[in-house]
Amino acid sequence: MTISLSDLNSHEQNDWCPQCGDTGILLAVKNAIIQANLDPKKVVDVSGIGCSSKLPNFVNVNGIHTLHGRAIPFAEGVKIANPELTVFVNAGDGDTYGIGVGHFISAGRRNVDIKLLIHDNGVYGLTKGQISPTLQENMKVKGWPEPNINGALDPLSLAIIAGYTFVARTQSYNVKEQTELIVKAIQHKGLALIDILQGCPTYNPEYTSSAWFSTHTHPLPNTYDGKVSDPSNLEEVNAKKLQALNLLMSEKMEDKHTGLFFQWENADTFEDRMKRSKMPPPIDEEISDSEGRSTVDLSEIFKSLST
Amino acid sequence: MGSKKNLNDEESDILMIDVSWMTGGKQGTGIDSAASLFSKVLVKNGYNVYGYREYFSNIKGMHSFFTVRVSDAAINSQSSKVDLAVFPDKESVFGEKNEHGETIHDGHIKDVKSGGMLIVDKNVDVSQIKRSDIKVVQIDFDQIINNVAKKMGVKSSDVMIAKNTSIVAISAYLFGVDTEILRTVLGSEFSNKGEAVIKMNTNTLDETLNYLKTLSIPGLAKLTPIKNEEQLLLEGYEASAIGKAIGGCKMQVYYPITPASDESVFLESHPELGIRVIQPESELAVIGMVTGASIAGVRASTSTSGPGFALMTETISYAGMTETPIVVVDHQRGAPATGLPTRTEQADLEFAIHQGHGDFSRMVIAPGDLEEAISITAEAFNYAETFQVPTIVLSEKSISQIYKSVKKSYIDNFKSSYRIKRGKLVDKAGYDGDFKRFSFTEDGVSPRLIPGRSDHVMWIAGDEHDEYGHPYEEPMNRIRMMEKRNKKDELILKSIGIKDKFNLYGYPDKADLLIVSWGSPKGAILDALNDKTAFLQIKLIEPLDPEIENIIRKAKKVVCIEENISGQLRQHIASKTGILIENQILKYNGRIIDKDELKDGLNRVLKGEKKVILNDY
Repeated sequence: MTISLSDLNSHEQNDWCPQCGDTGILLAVKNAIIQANLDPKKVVDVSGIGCSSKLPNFVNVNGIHTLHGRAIPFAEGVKIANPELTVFVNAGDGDTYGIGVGHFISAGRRNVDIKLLIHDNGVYGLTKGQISPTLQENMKVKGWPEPNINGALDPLSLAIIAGYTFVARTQSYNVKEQTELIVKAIQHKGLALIDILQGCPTYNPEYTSSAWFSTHTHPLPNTYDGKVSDPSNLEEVNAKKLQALNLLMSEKMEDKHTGLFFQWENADTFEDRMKRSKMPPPIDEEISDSEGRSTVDLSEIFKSLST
Repeated sequence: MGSKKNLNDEESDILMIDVSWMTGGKQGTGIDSAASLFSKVLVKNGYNVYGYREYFSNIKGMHSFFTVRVSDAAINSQSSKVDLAVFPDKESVFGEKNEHGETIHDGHIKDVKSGGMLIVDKNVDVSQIKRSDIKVVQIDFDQIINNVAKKMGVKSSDVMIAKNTSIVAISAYLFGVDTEILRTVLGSEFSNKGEAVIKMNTNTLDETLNYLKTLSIPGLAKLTPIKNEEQLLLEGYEASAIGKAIGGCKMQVYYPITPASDESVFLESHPELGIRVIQPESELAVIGMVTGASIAGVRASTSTSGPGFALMTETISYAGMTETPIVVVDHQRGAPATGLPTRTEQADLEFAIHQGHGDFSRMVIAPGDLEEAISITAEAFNYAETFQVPTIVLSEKSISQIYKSVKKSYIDNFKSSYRIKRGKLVDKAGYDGDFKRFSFTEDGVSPRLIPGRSDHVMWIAGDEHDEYGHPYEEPMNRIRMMEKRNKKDELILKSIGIKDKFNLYGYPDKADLLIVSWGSPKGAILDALNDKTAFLQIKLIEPLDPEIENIIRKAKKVVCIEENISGQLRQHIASKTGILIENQILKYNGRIIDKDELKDGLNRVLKGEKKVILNDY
């Protein structure tokens, strides 16, 4: 089955600001679905709240627009219930690294096979420009009257420490790089983070414009290889993590890398771990016979409760 | 049938055997297993049992106690006093004070009924017990344990845990239970712990019996085996879990909290049920996963208690807005805040009815006993999917941690009569164009599909949305969507049968007093009911059936019984019907209502008291 970009358009028109980076992300998501040859009916895009999270409405795949900060647990619930689905999370930096940061970190412990595409623009856009968890200290953005007195959080380092098995960064105006990374994330088995530096021309034009990104970000050097070559070699896994962490910690705000920082393929996913219990995925469990009678077998329970 | 002597209750003319028993001790010393062993022996002998545990929020060292009531007739609650209490430690007898001189608990001397028996350790100063109306017997527990240790060539400290078996042996002996049945139960109880443990326990049984023979204590009853159909010994949380299993639940997501975790742990220990049990980082994650799984087409649920339930609030509102079927069981405990984690209360009712910002239909249903915990919990999944509403099952500690004999045939019959109804779950839209997850329909419920298992995709949004599930703020659409979601109350009331809405006992228009209640007080109420009283047990609390108003209006005198301070059901009824029930019996000391204090309370209301506060413990 081949699908075209227009097949992936929903009947909804996006209402983002002109030059909003989200339009680049939207295009990259559609490109990636085509290039990875996904069946749109088996794709679920889960979003949080904010400009970023409107995205699922504009793609012709299943879309679940959830609550602020909770997109990750919703997405995990969907994927655990039905592992045959490809599950994306489109959410913002405030959503994921602020109010939802507990879920963001804890997801690493489970390695559920979902793909986080985080629109990272340093501000809360839809509430008109408040500072977000990724804005550096002392930075002053257009949407906020004072310089930031909070420090910034680095989502990539955090993801690596937390146990993410695919950690990448890209930027919203580079649709080609985004598409490639999203395709890789789809093909990767396990929890993936792509932190997408996203242009917010309205509230953070200072640090997220296309011009800023083109002068202040550059691809990881060719010599950098973030991919673990032998997935069973835990020493190599740790070495690759440290390599990524070293690079991330040495980065400056004005000089960030894009690309795949770390990938550990074939790491045990939550779905793998659950398979070992010999239960079929919840969606494949028959719950009733043709007449609606419950098919659960209580004999073991009766045995354990009989005197 | 067994003895005709009624040992407990001179008012009753139905019960032939009705005895109560208590043991207690420091938490972590195996008091639970003594009580479970004792209960099993009695159930095996054909009796009905009703047991309850009171304990502190503590793992080791604090005082906990267990009461078991035994009868050959159906019993639904506990008595205020026991016929026999057996305590291996001093603190259980006299109580304890903390470093400020405050009472932690005041011991159990008061709990033995007149004519009953109190068994204490040899080291207890019996002159301090000061009750001439009970028989006090001292047992040298150490001697029994030392003899067993000597016989087995092990240290006494290794046998100390078997003191619980000694307690059960003493109790079985005094209640005239065939101790050979105890021997059999010991064998099966410890079968997975190896021969040596079984031997230790059977030796303790023998040593205890030998010891008792030297004392010549008169027996308290003769509980000979009686004929009864097969019964299971169930704890309430197991009943909720069985309800979920029958109801087709395939994902249980939970965060640890007393007294709810037991249900999830039980489900996890039964993988043959095919229920995935997942424990994520918080209740916020829990309810997100449950809602996500439900959208994906799986019957998913959680169990929690007040504090965790409160954390789920925003997503409950989301499930209401997105018409997503979810089932939450709230095993209520003492509140507010962390409150009384290990004690009971019914104080989450109004919270459950109003939980979540904004207006949307939901269902709040409450079982009154273990049997209903099975059936109501199973039905909750049908309700949730049929009406596409968040469905809250309000249980409470005094259901979840009740030990009760339940007829196996009850569960078998319920399971074979139960039908899984998934409501408007479809795999085709039946029209051209995009799927309308929120299509306007006559009854307010729209067809739903399973993502990935149909020819369509669908959108869902917590923002106000159009029929396709895309955010949409147009005023007329807003009105129609609000009405669609909120008119489900009518549909629910129209669709659900009377039997699932409430139970009515007696004749409310003829009785001197109509009792209105919900949840676990049912047990004590049933045991206190007579031909002058009637009882309306409300199971479907939200939405509230208007027929309830008619029943209440016809009654001569009405009392509302609840385990909370503000009379939450009474307020709810008032807000829905305009009737403020005149009389109240309330209990909010964190302890379960027993039948005797309730009988007393009902008499006081009949004599004219408007508000009775119970405080048995």
